[in-house]
Amino acid sequence: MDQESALIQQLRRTLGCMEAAMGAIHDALAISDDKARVLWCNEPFLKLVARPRLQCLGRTITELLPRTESGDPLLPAIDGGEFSEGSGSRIAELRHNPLRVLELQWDPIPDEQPPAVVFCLRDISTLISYQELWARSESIQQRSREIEHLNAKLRRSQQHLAVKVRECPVTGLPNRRGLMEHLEHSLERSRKGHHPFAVLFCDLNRFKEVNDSHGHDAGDELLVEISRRLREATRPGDMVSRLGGDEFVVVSHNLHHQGQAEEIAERLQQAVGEAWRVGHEVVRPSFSIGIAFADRLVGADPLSAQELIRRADQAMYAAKCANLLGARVYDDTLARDNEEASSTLQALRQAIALRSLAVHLQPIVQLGSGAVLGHEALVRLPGADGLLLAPDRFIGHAERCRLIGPLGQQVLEKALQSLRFLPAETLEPCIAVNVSPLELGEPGFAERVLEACARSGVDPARLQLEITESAIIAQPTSTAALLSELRQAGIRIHLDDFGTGYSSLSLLSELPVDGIKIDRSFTSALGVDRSRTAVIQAITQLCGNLGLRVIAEGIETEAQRQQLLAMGCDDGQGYLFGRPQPLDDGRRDPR
Amino acid sequence: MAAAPSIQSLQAGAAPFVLADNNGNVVAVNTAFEQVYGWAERELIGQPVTLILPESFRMSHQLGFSRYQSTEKSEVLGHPLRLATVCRDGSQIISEHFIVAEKSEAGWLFGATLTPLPAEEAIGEDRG
Repeated sequence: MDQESALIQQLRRTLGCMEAAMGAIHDALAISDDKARVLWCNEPFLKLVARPRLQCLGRTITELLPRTESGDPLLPAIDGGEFSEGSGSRIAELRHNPLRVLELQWDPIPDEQPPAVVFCLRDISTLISYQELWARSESIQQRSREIEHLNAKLRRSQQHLAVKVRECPVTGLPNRRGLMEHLEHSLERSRKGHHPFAVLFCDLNRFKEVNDSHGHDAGDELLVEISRRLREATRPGDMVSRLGGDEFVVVSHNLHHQGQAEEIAERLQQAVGEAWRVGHEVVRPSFSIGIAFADRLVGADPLSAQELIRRADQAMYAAKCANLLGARVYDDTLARDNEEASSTLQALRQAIALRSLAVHLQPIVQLGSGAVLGHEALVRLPGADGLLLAPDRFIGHAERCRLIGPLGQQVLEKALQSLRFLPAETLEPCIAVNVSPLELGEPGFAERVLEACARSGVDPARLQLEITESAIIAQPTSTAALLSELRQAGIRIHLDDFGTGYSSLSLLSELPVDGIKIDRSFTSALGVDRSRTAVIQAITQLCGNLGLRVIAEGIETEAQRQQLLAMGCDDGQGYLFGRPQPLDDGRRDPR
Repeated sequence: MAAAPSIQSLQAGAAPFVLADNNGNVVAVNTAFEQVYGWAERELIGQPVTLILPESFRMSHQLGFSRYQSTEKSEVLGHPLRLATVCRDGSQIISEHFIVAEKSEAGWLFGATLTPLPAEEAIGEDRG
């Protein structure tokens, strides 16, 4: 092989390598003549134009390239001369799904005769797609905001309209307005003839929990489901309405006696009680139902629709308070109870505002010596007739109406102040104050108690708080932590009314308490009821072993005192030692 | 797939035939080739084989030819190709090219038959 041939071979191999390399890159390359006719192209170019090589050679690049998104040629259909005159570039979107964007560049090869042009076509879809994506995302978010705005507007219009059209926008049931019109019509019908009917006020229990745990959409779904079940469970001619929130009212017609209304209530309860699934949780809805019966209308004082609903509502409230699974019917007793409750609440509000709650003190004594160890502060409410009401008459109302906090605070402050006026013969001038479970659950309870001690200048060690077992069992962890905090400050904790509630003897060793108070019902059974006597014996013994103080309540006879002493119970209180008394002159009930 | 025919067998056939060396220069043509395309063997021997290819195919041929010698990979060997063949008078006849390559001590040899096809067949149509 001569030198020239060897050189040609070497150059061929070099060219061959370069050609192979050109085929391995991502960009599409083509070399054309001055008329843009393809003389060479690499593999990505063939892929782009989707033709075999021999079909590309000799054809113009303009006719080979795919069309743009708008259907136009990717390159202008010129005679090709312009490509060889100078470099140029353009970016174009291809008619392709997903969108592809090409960047085209052409550069003439100088001094090449005949003139040649190198075309480079780069797929920049990835880069553009990101920008597109961002733009699209922005656009979608903007549309989402607009739709949300429109939806909110629509909801407001629907609600506004619903009032006008007498329909609940969530459930499609008649709303309050629709119900009132229906009741007016029913009352009118009743006045003209004997057409008794009943109003069933149904309050969905624990609806707030569904809303809080699973969101308002889930809450709305439950309301819709409840509506459906109510419609299915009622008879033709009955009316189901939604007053709002978790309150539904069913008006049931053609009833001959009250029992039928109660049967309907039972049927409604069964219908709503079917399991309902929300997320992974199964909920069993239930109602508190109050019934107002409209039957003795002819000749009687005209009853308004408003009054009927109020009565059913009150009956429902009574059912809810009593935790009734069945319905409560509005009757005269309930009417009287409500009147009484209403006047009691009024008196309570007034007493709290005027700081006129009375605190009476009952001595706690050493059963052996009769020495006074301290006193229990017992609250009394001045009634409208000037008489004082005992706690069992108003504490429940105070708890339901969220007045227990200010009530408890006032009693605590007065009890602490009373220590200054206690009889001189008191050995350990301590004061015991009852605490409601609701108070314990209020945030900042411990701080408020300690602040009250500080304000009155009383050593916390002289304060005993009496709590019930139910308070601990309701929130065992948080209550235990709270009680431990109070005990660390020196306050002593006693379990009140022991024996009446859960009364877990096994729990006693674990509770952060200093002692227990045996309920008066056990004390009164001493020597009468053998099993109850045995319970006191066991409690006293266990507390002795655990180092807990035992105070027996309700001691009224010497025999009881003797028996308790014999059992090992050292302390107690009751009429035998002294009734709850106000501080007398000079030791006045502090205001 | 059947083995590609040898250069010898192509050369022994009746179809127009061209033989080129590893530089891409014509070594021999047969009488059929001379008769169909108008070239005399003496005019072509020692000339680049691209002389009988259309202008627009020459660069691609040279690069493909070089690539084969570098990588021994080819898109065109061993299967029929529809191409135009340039005649002595400059005219073009559409023909079926069938190219085979063989390695010898002196280097690569390329033999091809170029069978004329009816005029309506598209140039560059790849049947293979």
